[in-house]
Amino acid sequence: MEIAKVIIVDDHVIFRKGLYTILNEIDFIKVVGEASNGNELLELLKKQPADVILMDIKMPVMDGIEATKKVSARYPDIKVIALTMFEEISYFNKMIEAGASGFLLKKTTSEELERAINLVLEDESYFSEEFMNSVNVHLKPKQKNTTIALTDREQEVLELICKGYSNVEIANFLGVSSRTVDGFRARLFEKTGAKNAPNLVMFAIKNGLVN
Amino acid sequence: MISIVLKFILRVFLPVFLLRFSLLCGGGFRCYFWIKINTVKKQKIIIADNNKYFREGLKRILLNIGNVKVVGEAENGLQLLDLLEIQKADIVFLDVAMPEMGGFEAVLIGHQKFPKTRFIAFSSLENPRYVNRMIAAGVSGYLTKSSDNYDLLHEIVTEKQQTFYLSPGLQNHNLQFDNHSLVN
Repeated sequence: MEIAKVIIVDDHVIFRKGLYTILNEIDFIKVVGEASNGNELLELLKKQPADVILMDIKMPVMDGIEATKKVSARYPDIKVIALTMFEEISYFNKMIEAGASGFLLKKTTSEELERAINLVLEDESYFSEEFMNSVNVHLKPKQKNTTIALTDREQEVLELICKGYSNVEIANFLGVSSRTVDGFRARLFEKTGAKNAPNLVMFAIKNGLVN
Repeated sequence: MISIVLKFILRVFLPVFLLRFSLLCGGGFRCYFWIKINTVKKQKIIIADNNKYFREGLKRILLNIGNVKVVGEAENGLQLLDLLEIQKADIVFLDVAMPEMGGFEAVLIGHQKFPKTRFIAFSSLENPRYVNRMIAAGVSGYLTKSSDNYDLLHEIVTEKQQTFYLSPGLQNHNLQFDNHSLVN
């Protein structure tokens, strides 16, 4: 497996140090840099290529939302995973709009980190289940949007995407091929107007399409 | 015959035995003092924080500073107090906001039960209200997670005299060091 180059962006130096140590213990990951805010990250990216950025949201000088916007515009191949505290779930929308491919809570396990990095590298998205539950509670509308009609299968696929299942996992779960799942995804994007999986997840939550 | 045995004991065995014993004792004492002089006691440390990455990072930094032994970790105040019952610690670094039992309550109880242990708060909360409450509960320092605390951590683990440690960002805050009414 190719080595994934990861940069950690967080203003808490001790947290960075711990995350750095634990991430470097994972075979396919190499932490190639650290930054304590968005500005430092952009400076670092001028000389250090990266595949994935683990991004804190609240930081001094330049926060994670602004930094994610700039990274997505300047380096579209780099994937951003937001690393957040429970209190920061209200920033979910803004981070998705800025271009984040995943969301993890700061208390995440190394297994979940590994999984999330793997998935975003394969152009998928990852949202920690615990995080999604709280986002769901936070953003859930009082009434379900009934203007979007989904078939039972589409509904099922949508729920599994929101639970953080990968394409292959959805295919295995439903007993269909990955191509069929791709077809469902394409139809879901079309019906919701979402550009990518994170947008689709946000749309589904905001419109009460998932439980 | 008995007198020959007694003479042997008095003139040969006893002097040789006493000489050997004194050498042994002298050597022993010398050895004891040598150990006493050449080994500085390592500070026993416990880290209580619900974030394992923070615990790991702090552990690494402390081990780099040296002269410490991290003897335990806890995820909340309750685990910390249970741990202290079975494991003595010189210094406890603890977060303020933790699930089940936070740092404030843990210090209130821990400070009374384990008076020889120094409790140092290490939190992302920088509001003077929290700092004052922790001071009133009995902490010997308050460090903030966003500050560069390397020099302070070095002082905490190496300095023998009791002083109060405060992260650079908090030093201009209006803190109340004598207000024990805050505890209530």
